[in-house]
Amino acid sequence: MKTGGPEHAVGIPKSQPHAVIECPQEIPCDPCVEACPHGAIRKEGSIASIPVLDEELCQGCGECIPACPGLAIFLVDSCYSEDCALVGLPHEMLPMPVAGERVRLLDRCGREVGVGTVTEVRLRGAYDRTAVVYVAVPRGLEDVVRAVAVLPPDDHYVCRCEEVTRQMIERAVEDGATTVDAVKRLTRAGMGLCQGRTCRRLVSAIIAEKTGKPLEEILPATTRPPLRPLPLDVICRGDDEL
Amino acid sequence: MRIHDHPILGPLPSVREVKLLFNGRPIMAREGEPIAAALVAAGVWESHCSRKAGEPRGPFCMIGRCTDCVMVVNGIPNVRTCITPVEEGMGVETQVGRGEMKHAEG
Ligand code: SF4
Ligand code: SF4
Ligand code: FES
Repeated sequence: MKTGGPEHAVGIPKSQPHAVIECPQEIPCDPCVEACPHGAIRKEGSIASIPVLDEELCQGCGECIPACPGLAIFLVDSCYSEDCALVGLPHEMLPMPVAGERVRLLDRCGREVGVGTVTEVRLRGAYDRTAVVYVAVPRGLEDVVRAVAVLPPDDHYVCRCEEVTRQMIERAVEDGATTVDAVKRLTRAGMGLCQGRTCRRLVSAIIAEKTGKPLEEILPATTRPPLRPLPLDVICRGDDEL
Repeated sequence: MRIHDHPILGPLPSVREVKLLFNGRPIMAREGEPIAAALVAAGVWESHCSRKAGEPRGPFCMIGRCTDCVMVVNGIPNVRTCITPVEEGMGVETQVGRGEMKHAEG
């Protein structure tokens, strides 16, 4: 994955907050163009072209951030304070962080890269429930941090079908279940209607986190047919057309 | 909630209106649309009540994976309403727990 980076900020005085558009795909989409009150975002030619930011016109207001359905626009202020930069980012997850809260900083791949402090959360009616979270990050991380995570409460469901919480899975790992199958046997996570489609990756991630092993080393659950839910009578009839 | 004029896909094509019975109450739907879409358009977000905690659940993934949208459809429980098309006269009921088979299938 491309890690983006400082090349986005070329030509912008370091002290000025500005939008960073990380939208590399040519798709027919242009809410960003409409959202900018200063006319700083353009599409040249077709609606499917990649948006272009006019760095002279951008005032760093952040109004374009919640408008992008792809969550591809950020705000960066490299000189927010002596040792911190500021990153504004779209946030569509619960729980919503609050100003002053310490949050985990995540990179473009969701890897934790540090801890930051939320300075402001903007959520206006026109934002259609996409909040803009402003977070002070250690200088040097402003081109790396692209999401924040509030530590999940232990009673969040991981397996929605069997109603198994994070805490129950962590306890199973502590009891020695270090493969997805073993966790399944102790908690039923993955044995519900959806057959693990929702939870299996989350369970692997929790095992990796708890055991300190890399994710690739966590043994996945055994997959058996049928691979999608079928009424039993289909199998009894032996229809070959599913 | 329905998008009548999509900026990219254009206006919603006209299709036949059909009636489905949601917990006995008639709801008008667009023929062939997913049951879950018809219910959401009618303001219904709850599909079933979870088996252990008894909590309300509703469409989550909308692509047939998570099974949170399951309901009792024409007497058959655990039908994923987000990928099951609406048909005229269909009976759709809020499911409780794992649901009960109302009658054997045809
Ligand atoms: S930050 Fe404000 S001025 Fe800059 S591109 Fe976004 S909407 Fe326009
Ligand atoms: S709104 Fe977002 S996804 Fe759409 S063109 Fe603009 S930056 Fe790209
Ligand atoms: S909403 Fe997930 S299967 Fe229907």
